[in-house]
Amino acid sequence: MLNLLANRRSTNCEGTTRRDCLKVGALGAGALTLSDLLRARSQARAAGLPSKNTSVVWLWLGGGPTHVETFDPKMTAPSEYRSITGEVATPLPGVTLGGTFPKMAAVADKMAFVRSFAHTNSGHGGGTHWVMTGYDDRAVDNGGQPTRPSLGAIVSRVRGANNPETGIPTYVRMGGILADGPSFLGTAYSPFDPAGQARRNMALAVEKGRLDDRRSLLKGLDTTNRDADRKHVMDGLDAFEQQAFELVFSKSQQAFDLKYEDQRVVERYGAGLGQQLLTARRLCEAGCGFVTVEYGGWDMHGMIKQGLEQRSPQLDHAVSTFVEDLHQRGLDQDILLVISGEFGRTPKINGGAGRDHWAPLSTLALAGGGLNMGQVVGESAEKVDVPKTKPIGPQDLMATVFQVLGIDRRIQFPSTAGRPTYMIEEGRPIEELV
Amino acid sequence: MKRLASFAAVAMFGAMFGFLGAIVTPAHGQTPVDPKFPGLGPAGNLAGIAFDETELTVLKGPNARKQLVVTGAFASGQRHDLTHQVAYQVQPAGVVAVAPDGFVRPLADGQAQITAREPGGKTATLALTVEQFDKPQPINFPNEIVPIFTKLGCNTGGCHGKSDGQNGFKLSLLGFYPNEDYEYLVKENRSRRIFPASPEYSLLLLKPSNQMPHGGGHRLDVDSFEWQLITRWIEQDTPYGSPTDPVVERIEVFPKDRAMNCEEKQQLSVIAHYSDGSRGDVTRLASYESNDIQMALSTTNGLVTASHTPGDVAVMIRFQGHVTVFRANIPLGLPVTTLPPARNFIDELAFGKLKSLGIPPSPVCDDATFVRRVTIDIAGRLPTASEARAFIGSTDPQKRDKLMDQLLDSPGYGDHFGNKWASVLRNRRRADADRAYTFRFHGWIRQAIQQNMPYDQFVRSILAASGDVETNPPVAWYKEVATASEQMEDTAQLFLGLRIQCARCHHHPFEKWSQDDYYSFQAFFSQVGRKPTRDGVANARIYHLGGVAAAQNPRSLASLKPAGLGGMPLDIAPYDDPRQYLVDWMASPDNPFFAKALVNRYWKHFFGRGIVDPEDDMRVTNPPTNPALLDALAKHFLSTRFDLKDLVRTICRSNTYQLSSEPTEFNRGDKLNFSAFYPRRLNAEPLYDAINQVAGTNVAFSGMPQGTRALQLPDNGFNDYFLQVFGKPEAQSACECERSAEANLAQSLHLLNSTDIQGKLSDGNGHVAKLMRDMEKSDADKVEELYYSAFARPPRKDELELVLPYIQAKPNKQQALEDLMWAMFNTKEFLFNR
Repeated sequence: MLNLLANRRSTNCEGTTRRDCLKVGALGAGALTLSDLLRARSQARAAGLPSKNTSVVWLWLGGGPTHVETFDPKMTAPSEYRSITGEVATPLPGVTLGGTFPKMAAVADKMAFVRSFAHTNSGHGGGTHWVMTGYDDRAVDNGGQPTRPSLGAIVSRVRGANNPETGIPTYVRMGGILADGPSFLGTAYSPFDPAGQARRNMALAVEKGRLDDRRSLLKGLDTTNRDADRKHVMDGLDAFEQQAFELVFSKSQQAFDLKYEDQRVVERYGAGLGQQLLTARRLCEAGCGFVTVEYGGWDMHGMIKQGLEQRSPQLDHAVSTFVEDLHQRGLDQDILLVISGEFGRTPKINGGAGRDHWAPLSTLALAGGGLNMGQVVGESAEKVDVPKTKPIGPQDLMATVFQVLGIDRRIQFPSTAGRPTYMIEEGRPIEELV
Repeated sequence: MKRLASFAAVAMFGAMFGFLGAIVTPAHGQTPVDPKFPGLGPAGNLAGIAFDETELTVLKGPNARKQLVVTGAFASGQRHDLTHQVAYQVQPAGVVAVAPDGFVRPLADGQAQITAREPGGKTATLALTVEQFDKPQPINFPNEIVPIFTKLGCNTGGCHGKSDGQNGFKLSLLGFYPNEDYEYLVKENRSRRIFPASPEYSLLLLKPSNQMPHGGGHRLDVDSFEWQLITRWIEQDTPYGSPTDPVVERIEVFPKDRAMNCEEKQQLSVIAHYSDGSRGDVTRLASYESNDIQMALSTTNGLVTASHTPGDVAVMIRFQGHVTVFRANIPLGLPVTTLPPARNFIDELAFGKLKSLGIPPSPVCDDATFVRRVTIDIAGRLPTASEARAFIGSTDPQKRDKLMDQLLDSPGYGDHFGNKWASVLRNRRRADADRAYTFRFHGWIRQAIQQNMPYDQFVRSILAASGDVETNPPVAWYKEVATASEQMEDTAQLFLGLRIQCARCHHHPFEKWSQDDYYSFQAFFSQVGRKPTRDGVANARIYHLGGVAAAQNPRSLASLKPAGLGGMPLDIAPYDDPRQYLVDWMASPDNPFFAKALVNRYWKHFFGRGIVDPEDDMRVTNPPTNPALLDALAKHFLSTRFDLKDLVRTICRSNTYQLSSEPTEFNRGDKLNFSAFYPRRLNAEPLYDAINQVAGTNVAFSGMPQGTRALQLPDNGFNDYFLQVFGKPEAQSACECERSAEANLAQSLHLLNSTDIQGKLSDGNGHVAKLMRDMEKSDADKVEELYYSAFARPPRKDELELVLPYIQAKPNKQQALEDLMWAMFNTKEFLFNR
């Protein structure tokens, strides 16, 4: 089998000395290197076809990040509305970001900031459900189970739970988010959680030939009628079994492991969120379609200035490094970074020097994905409370993400009741971006 | 999809109502409807039509409304909704207007006759009187305004109904406290929400109609019925209503139940009965919720649509604090001719239900399936190869019944049910020192179960426990379940099947339980005292404080005497422990919850689905799939004086339990009515034990004797990856739902490719190694041995033809047998109880 994600310092792969040498362990078929994959993508794009190997990194600022002090400081608003952390200039004329994000501001020409992102559920549960799935569900505010599949689960359903060439799960999560599951699509499309023993179980426990033999034996013996199981757990197990084999047989699992990464890059990304975003990049390179990264702590009802000073630096550093890295590697056309949370925060600073839940203007920024970067999309009203321009909703974000991933936004899947169900009903890709 | 479509008797439906013109088109991609599924069958000719609700004949004031419901009676005896298919005429014109959907609104005072006419010419008439059209009635805030907030979702728990409101504005959850809502709306914040001089500029209207930024978005259309009502209420100077105004006493739905075909629609009408004897139509003010959206969907206007799953479904209707239920029965409608013999009352009732729904069951399972199934379900383990051989080989006609008895007497029964109870009794280790409690409590539970302590005594020993854990282990329950509210909530959920938690802070949204009910019930635990043990462990000794049992309703501040749920308040002398009275009430033969909750919990253990499901959420709005069966089981359980082993035996003896899991062409879609055995994945502990039993290996659990099985672990504190990833609960709640049977990739990776499992296959003292040392057995014998161990059956011919060449082709026979065992572990036959 080929070496995948080999240590770049010891390998020279087709002359690309400064790139990760990613050789993809294909299952039975001929192997593709990462550059082959990338070439296939750019050819598809040139032909005007959706490029199937694009990926999304979904950075979730759980708790509801302020839209004001992040990407819309609005220093022209009355003092009790405008950014409490001031603003910082960007290379884009007239565009500033909140005062605690100087590094992101420096790469603002490689990002896009949506200042008219809005919905109407200001509860953590329902708001999260809405942005994660495109649909409001008030029952989730009261502890109800999510009723719609998440974006990541839909991607997994469309592409298959594992990348057919590398075995890497299509949908990986680093830190759980409410409503990140598959709902009626079925458990097979759940996010893969790579913490702990599961990673060790990716390394072959017996030699490959023997596992191959075992697998064919199992195929012959596992003849139970799947129809007997009305809950479809057996179907789910079959799908997971398939995924497990793909993962074990390929070396793609090394994508999970930063010890195969250039240690200078590891250092540059920094600890915590940085390591997660770097892992996310590696997973995307190895064929993952959708990675969620949870970076919470944004429910700043009081003392928001202090909260931001504590929470921002890691975000600022990790995101700016990630954006730079995408460009240096020429991945900015293939990997889309989405930064959002369940809602924004009340436009007016409250009595506790904080901001409360506010969905009518929410927080959204994007980078890469072949979208038009270096711009502000939409505009907020005078008091940063509602969009002044046409509101952009969670389903519009979803449609944009689908477009990047080459998924038809009119796609349908059957609900548990067997009804064909649109994943997106109203949403349209954000015009300024696509 | 195919499976669902097969139940869609839409073609039948269309043919039956030829005059409707619209045959529901099968959804894209579905195969054509299979005519073998008749549903209700041919309806026959339409005999006549009639209005369902005819008592409400007076519309008083301009706000009164009425939803008509028109039903056709057919020659077959079937009844079908025609509300939206008939044409309505009013004589004389100008008194009322009737929309095509049967919704009536007044136009002027007078009397009028409404005639409904179906296309074939049959008619029905209804006389209505409109009074005081020009004299608006004073609007009553609780009766008319508050339901709007419920209907529009303003006062839900995710919005203004949550305990601290939303963005500074609070409403009582689901409008249960109109007097508080009135305060918030009319008086709070200098009355800024109401603008009497110009009502339409009130915040109360501007916000939900999105004329001003509103976190909840657009909820209310300008000039809609609700908008006008609120406007008029403000014009009338926001009256609350007088204390003598009628209040809603109950609500009633028309029709109450109906047999429906798949895809058929039913319009409901909802009538509120007021304390002055009057009635009002609240169809458009009420909210609707189906208990199973796979079976029926409902709209805000009270229109119910049956889906493709046969069985019974309930739609909950809520208005103010009142709930009622519309029940629909959706039959598959096939002839049920070959039923297995009824072995006891369970079969009579379960098969009776299948007959009425027209779902033919699967046949009774074979011996091999049965021995494996019942051994797993009673003793939590696989039968050994020799047990399986002996059982299958036995010609004793009583062998199935005898096997149950043996299993109930075996220690596996105590292990299995002890483990089950320990988890929901929250036998939880948080720190090492807790072992003093958890080990003793588990030991006590296990023994009580094994010795078949009557269930009421089991519950009494726990709930009324006093002393310390050394002398009386059940006091350990009071360690983890620490507060009076947790104690009462766990008691309600675990032993009564009632989730009453909601009523701690507000009236229960789906049930009759009020805060008074909650705190009266909690009062039973108000005299639980704690003091140090003789060894000085703080708070570890439970005793009766000896005061007067009472609890305070935090809203009304009333001090409440102990009362069972739905029972009368009790006067309990200070020297009597109220907890004894609690268990007396629970275990009394008249108690409507106690026996039912247990038999339902045990039913779920054996069938994978409760007769009420979830098993601890029994309420009017979540009805049983087979009420007669649940009642009969409870009655039987009472008659045996709470004999748990007898209950297990009664369930396992039924042919309903012994049905094959193999679906037939006809019952594949049934997942509610027990027409086949529903396979389920083994739980974490029995699965781990099964792997070790077949592999001939042990796991070393820290601090436990060699050979301890996962099912015998006394508590949660063993940090084992296998058990964790397969969903062993952490004993954090009284809900069995904490145990997860979900599949995931981590499980598959572990079974397919972990050094843990590989180590068991190749263990030097393991089963494979022993077979290798056995020089007498042929390869075929060895394979047979493994098959009996894992599947409780011999290999089939086709299996031998696959396996033997595999083994013979391998140079290393040990490895070949390991491979076979590995493959067995990963089959669904092994992973599931089926």
